[in-house]
Parts: sequence; structure tokens; C-alpha cells
Amino acid sequence: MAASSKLPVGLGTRLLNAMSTWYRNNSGYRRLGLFRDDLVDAEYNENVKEAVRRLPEDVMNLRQFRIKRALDLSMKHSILPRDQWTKPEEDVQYLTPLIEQVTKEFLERKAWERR
Amino acid sequence: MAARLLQRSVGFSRYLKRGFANVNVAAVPLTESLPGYDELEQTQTEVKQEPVMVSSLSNGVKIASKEVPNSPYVSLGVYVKCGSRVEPYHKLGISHLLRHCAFLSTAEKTSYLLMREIEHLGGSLSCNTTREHMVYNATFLKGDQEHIIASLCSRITDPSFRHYEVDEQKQYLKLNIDESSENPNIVVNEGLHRISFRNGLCNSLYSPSYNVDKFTSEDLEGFVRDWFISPNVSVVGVGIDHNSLLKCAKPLTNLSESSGSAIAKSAYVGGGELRVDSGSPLAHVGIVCKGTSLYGPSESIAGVVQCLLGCGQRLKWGSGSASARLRKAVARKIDDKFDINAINIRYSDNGIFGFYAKADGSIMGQVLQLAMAEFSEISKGNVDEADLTRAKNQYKADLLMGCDLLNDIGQQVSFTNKYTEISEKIKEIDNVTSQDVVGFVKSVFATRPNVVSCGNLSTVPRLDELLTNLS
Repeated sequence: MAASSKLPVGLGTRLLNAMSTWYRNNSGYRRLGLFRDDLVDAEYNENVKEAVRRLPEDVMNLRQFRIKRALDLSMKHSILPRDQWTKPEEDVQYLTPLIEQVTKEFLERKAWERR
Repeated sequence: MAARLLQRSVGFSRYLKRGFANVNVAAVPLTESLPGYDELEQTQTEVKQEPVMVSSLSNGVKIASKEVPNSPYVSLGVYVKCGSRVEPYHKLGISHLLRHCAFLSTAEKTSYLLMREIEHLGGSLSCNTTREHMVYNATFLKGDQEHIIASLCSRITDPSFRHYEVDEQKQYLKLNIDESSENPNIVVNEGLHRISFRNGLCNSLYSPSYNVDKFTSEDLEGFVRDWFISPNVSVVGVGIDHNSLLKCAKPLTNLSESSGSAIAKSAYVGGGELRVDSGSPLAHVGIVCKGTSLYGPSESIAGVVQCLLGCGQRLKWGSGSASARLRKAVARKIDDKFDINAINIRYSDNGIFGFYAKADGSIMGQVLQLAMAEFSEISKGNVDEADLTRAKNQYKADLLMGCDLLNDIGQQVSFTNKYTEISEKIKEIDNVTSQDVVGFVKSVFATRPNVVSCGNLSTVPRLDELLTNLS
């Protein structure tokens, strides 16, 4: 019933979703306990650097912890036990909205300063 | 000749407007008057004063305005009844931080955009805190009102405090606190409040430094939620007509109507003393007793007495004042340099009255004794009529010339829901008699004083010594 009230999803979209789930699960970062947004590197991009600065302190600490743990695991050529892998529902985009916000603000600033 | 030149420059636009545009002005020699000009001068009518209009929005936000014909600009103030007196003990200083965070980014506008817009329009925005109000001020050219008032209203209705922006502001807050602790004027003034009032008004305008790093965005949001409610908010505009202000202030109807918590009254406590030693050679001392409240029955009398005793200099950079009683009394005995002024600080429910002296630490003791003796002279009835007239003139002139109209309307409307014109007050002042003055000084003297001193305190007497020497 519920499914029939939804918009029909095309075969292509469904295939793409399935592909992306499969790809994420097998790309390995979840086996190191990382989130997708942990992979966005703050080193080389001003927007990301600013977005990371704007993270609340507790979120920031957890991000640092996950990255350190992943580095440690990677150095030891190992992965987390299966029950500690990042679950798909845990893998929220905590940084992406901030990056979008910062990008918007930087564009606004640039537009004013070009005048 | 000069008069003709003046005629061409000053009255010229009016002249052209009154239907003389077809006169070839250049053809009239400067030695002759323009045709019809003299009659025009005579028919000139007096400029009409617009009254202050007070009304309110559907949720109780008070709106007051005074149109100033031909004024090119608008001054606007949003008065929120809160300020440092309503800070809870464990959040002392939150209103100081809120002042610094008044113009941070909101959901729809970043602080950068706000700044660029206001700079582009040529206006200015500011936020001030007093012990009883948070005041958001805007000054801008006529025509920009809709835009600027809307962005000011959003500061009140849905401010947002992003933690990283608040953290940046904390650095400025710390600088401000450090500056204030080095300024003896502020140390004495804050000290006087600290010991003179039992609660509320005793809170400093400056945040204690130990609290700064503890404040969070949630604290600011909580403070705003508790106090930025419709019964506490008044919008005042000078130079704007009432209907357009009502229209522009519409967004404030979103404010919560909850009655909120009542503001506790602050009782006066006497007999306190605060001494702050510093390396400075000067001593700054404030001595106060219980004064009057704003709009209280003896407010005009207090103002006249303040002028009688002396407040400020009438002749800048001269040798002080020749007629202020406190200064005269001290100067009779002391040759050295000193400065002494009466202070009259009033709030909605209470106030303090006394004097503030600055002098070299070595003579301060003497200055204080002489000033106290002069106070008691007045309470014994020694008031000269000519001197009283001088004081009344000064007070009236101060009200009429130095009065910040916006602030006057804002405070009155916020506390009393109506506006009394200054002319009413002038009448009250005219009615002050020397008996009133003596009575007031007696009533002030009947309460125990508080003393705050800062600087070189080598000769500054203790409170008990001051009082025994007097009697």
C-alpha cells in the first residue's frame, strides 16, 4: 500500500542505488570505522578547512578519534572487528551541510568584493 | 550687501518654491532686494512640532514615533527591557556578551552581508546595554527604513548564535573587560552599584572574566528566549511617521506574548565601602546615598540639586566652574588641582545620589571632608536664591540641548507606556523651591552613604571617619 502511493522508481535509479550501497560497503572506509565525511580532507581546501572549524566540539573530537583510529589500523594492515564497522545508518553527512554553507558564504563575499 | 548675499543663499530655495521661479535672479543686482522677498519673510510661519505618537502591535509591542518634518534621516531604537539587572547569578555578564553578539549571522543573513548592506546604504547599527535595557540602534537615511528595520527586527525575533562566531566575539569581550578594569571611572561606578543595591541593579555592566569562557550559544539563546518577549519590547523612531513605523515593525508580531518573569525591585543598602588600590598617583572617590527613581516625584528636584552642586564644566578647558557649590567649597581651602561633580543616577525603581571626586592622593582626604561639609550646609537650609535660579537654568538647558530625544522617548515608553513632553518637565523645574532642595538633601542625607575609592588611597578616610568628622 505504502509502496504504491510512492512515485514509481525507475529501474535505472534502483540499480544505481544498489550499486552505490554495494560500492560504499566495499570501498573499505566503513571497515576502518570511518564516516564518509571523514574522507573529505581539510588540508588542501579552504572551504573544508573553515567547515571543519565550525564543527561543534564533540563532533570534532569524534571525527579526530575516528581518523586516528583509522590511521592506526591502516599502519597495522588491519581492520576493525565486524561488529564495530560503521553501520550505514550511522554514516551521516555531518560535514557536507557546513561545506555547502561555507561555499555559499565565500561566494557571497567574493561577489561583494568584486564590485 | 551681506544681507542680500544671505538672502540669496539661505532663503533662496524657499523663494523659488513660492512661485518666484520665473524671476531672473541673476538680473537683480546684489545691492537690491529680490522682488517679493521681504513680504515672503513676513508671511513665514512657525515650524510645527509633531507630537510623539504611541501605540502598540497586536501582541503588545509598543511603538512610539515622532515625525521630524524635513529631517533627512531616521534614528530608530528597539528597547528590550532586560539588561544586566535580570542576569541570574550563575550567568552574570551574559548581557555583556549578548551586546557583542547582537549582529552575528542569522538564518537568512550572514553578518558579512549585514555589514556590507549597511555600509552600502550609509547607515549605522549599534547595540548598547544598560542595567535595564538592551538597545538596538539604527540610524539611516529616509527611504531605507523598510530594509533596515526588517533586518533589525530579525535580530530580535530570531537571532542565531553560531558557536564559532560567539567564540570570536569572546576575544573582544575579554579586551573590553580588561580595558574597563583599568579605568578608574568605571571601577568606581561599578563599585557604587555593586554595594548600593541589594540585587539586580548591583550587577555589573561588564561580565566577570571568570564567566566568559563558560558562556555557550545555548546560554545566549536561553536569555533571549526568556526576555525578548512582546511585553518587554518597545520600538522608537525619530524622523519617521507613525504608520510607516507600524508597518515596518510588523515582523515583531512574531514575538512570544508570554508574560515572562517579573523584574525584581532593587533595594538600596547603605554603609558599604570598597577600596581598590592601584599604582596611580590620583585618587578617584565616589560617595552616594539613596537618590530618586526615574519619573519619581522628586526627579526634577534631584536634577536641580545636582546642577546646584555642580555637574560638568560650562566653559571647556577653563579653570572649572565659578558657581558650582561643591567646587567652590573645596577651592576656598585647597589650591591644588581637583575635580568634583555631583552624580545623580536613576533607574525605574531606585537611584543613587552623591558626588564623584578626582584629586591627587595626598589631598583627597581634605577634598572629601570639605565636600561632605558643603552637603550638610545645604541640608541646614543654606541655599541662595540666585544660585538656585542658576541651577534651574542649567538643568533646563541641559534637558533641552543635551537631551537625546530617542533615548528619552525609549525609556519613558518602555517604563510608563506613555510620553510626557519636555515642556511639562520644564514647568516642574520652575516650581522647585529652596525648601524642596533642602528637603531633598535632608532625605538623601538621612540614608547611610556608600563609599568607593580607587587609586592612591593614602589619605582617603574610612566611612566611619568621614561621618564622625562631619558631626
